[in-house]
Amino acid sequence: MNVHELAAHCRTRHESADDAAWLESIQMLEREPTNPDRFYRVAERCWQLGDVDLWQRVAQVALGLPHVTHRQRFQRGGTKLALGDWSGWLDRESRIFHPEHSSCPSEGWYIRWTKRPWDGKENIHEKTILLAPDGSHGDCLQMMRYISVVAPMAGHVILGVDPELITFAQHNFGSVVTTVPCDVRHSVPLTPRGVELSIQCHRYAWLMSLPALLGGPPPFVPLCAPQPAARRAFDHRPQVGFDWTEQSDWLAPLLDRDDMQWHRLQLGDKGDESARFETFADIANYIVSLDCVVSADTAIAHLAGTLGVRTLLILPVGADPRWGLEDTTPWYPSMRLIRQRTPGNWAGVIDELAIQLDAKAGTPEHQVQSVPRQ
Amino acid sequence: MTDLTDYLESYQSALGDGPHADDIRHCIVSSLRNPDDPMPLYRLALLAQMRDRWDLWEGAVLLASHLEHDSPQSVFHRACHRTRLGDWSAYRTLGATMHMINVDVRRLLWVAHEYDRTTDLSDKTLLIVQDGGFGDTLNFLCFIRPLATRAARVILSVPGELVEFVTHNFGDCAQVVPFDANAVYENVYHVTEYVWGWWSAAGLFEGVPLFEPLRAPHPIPRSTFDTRSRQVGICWAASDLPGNPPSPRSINDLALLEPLFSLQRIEWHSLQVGASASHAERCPQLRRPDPPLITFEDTANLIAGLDAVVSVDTAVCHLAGRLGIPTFTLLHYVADDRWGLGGTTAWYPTMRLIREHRRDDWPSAIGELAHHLQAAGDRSS
Repeated sequence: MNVHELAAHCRTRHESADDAAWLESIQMLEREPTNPDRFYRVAERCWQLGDVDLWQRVAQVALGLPHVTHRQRFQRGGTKLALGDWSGWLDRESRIFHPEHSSCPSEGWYIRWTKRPWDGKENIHEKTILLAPDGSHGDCLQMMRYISVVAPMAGHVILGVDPELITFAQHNFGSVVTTVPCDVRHSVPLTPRGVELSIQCHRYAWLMSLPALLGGPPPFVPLCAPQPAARRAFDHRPQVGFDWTEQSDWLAPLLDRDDMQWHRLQLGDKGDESARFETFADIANYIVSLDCVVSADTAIAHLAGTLGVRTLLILPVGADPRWGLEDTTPWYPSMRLIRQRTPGNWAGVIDELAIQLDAKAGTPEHQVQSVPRQ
Repeated sequence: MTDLTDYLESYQSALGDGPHADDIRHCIVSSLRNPDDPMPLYRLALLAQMRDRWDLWEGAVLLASHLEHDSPQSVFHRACHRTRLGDWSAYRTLGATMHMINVDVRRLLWVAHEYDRTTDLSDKTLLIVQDGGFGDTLNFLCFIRPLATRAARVILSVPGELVEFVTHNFGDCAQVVPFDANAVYENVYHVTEYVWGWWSAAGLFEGVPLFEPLRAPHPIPRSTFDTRSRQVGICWAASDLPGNPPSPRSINDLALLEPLFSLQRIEWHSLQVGASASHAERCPQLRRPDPPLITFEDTANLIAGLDAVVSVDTAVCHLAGRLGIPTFTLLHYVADDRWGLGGTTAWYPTMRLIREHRRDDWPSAIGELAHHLQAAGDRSS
């Protein structure tokens, strides 16, 4: 199939989505058929529409083209990750050239300018390495798994974490790393002057670079909550935590069910009346006493996953590529991925979620299994 | 000065109470706590340079030179020092490490490749960007023509104020556009290769390319002025645009220039723009251009009709040098790296560098300059 046939196919496939941006992206694809950027733009749109077949066809063409710029490599990385190819993490290293990456000096985070990055191979037995956060809370929680690999290799490890994560990180890794507070969202060290003079380290590594530097995830060892809440505080019904930041109304039919008790997990004031969560350590204490956590792709899902609690992760169409296309993930053995198949369609998600919840509720007729993908 | 503690003590007693006191204290503490890190020393060197203290600047650079340089920033500072000593290859280092600090370069790096002088550009479009000061841009123009011959098409992005002057001189070999970081990022120029800034451009060459004088768009004919006396332009203060800190580059007291104005058979023209231009009113010997100078073309047109230009280290000296006019540049004690250490410069064959030999000693430098001008006058008569 040549480019023009592919373009025509794209046009007919999504006639309903005839917005100007979609048509323009197809036109640009025809005009520049050797630029992978053009293909990734169309593929991205298919991904957002939940059209995985077409996404795969367009992305396969893009993967075969020469990639020269960092933006192209970054997009290739996402595509590879979605296809389950670990080398996508290597391509994702291009993100540090993204003008909005947290190593940008305008943010006041000069680590890239003042220290040499660790390449994953250099002997750092006698050196101090800073693991610098460059992502959301969820990303940090996910990458903390590598600390067990880095700590024995380095003379000393400094872990930069957001204040809301620091108690949790200290409880789990306090014996092997020194934690320093950083604002994760802007990756700004919370010290009076820039990192160049305040954090004394020889090498640094971005947390999100660890999969590229160190390869596939190390064996899963569940992390611990600092002070687990007592299970007896709840009644005999299955206890399910949920975190739903947007469009929570579609979840209402499930929340009405009486055969299980629901607990809202959210930082700050919005939490359940019975519990207020100041930090992730508080949430972790609460989660370990629950039977199951239902969550969108947020830090709560990662937290439940790292604690080894059964987690049902709800992914809308256009999900982060790191979750791949399967309904399980190598990152968290206790996690089940429940995907939305088409935009706006939550009924299928509700059904699948209900089946999964019933399975956990202990009704022996239901085996733990996923609904086959269409 | 070889001992770190001695050096830091003398630094503290010399500059510890003035401006940047907190910064200085912080650097001294860092340096004592981490004596293997060259960065606090380079920071101290920079602060000393801002105060025109050569001794303290040199002490820090020497102490730092014995330490391990393994961060881009320390390598960058070492390279700055090397360009001052005339090591041309250091420009390559400066260009490479600059990518780590400049947000706009990072935007471009995301969508294009830095030209590394091995890529075949014969069917490609090369984007050459200069986003720095006006003087830097004029300095950097020597690389344009040699670079332009290598690419099929060249887009030259310079600060908006210089677009007209640059188009007049390079319109035949490049499309000149005003610098706009967003356009660069959105890749509206459809380029895959770029060169950013004069450090990177210099790194693509082995030395200063062959000098080729530029032309003013509409030069004022020399015959407009009195032919019996020499016509000399003068610029005594660096740009006072907001954001430029008060700089030791400028001569703030016009009375210091009196030895120049008292020279025989020289007519002086003010090339000063900005707020300092009004100081000329107090100086009857100084002709103020009418109409006043507004654009760079105005200044270039006037300079082209003069016999010589005297300027401190600001865009005017670069402009006069680029136009091939005899130029005397008055350099303050710890001058910019690019001027090296000598009395002449490879950048401009018609330029002579007159240096302050002590801190705050403009009178002796101006006396030396007066001597040069006098001698040149005697020769020509």
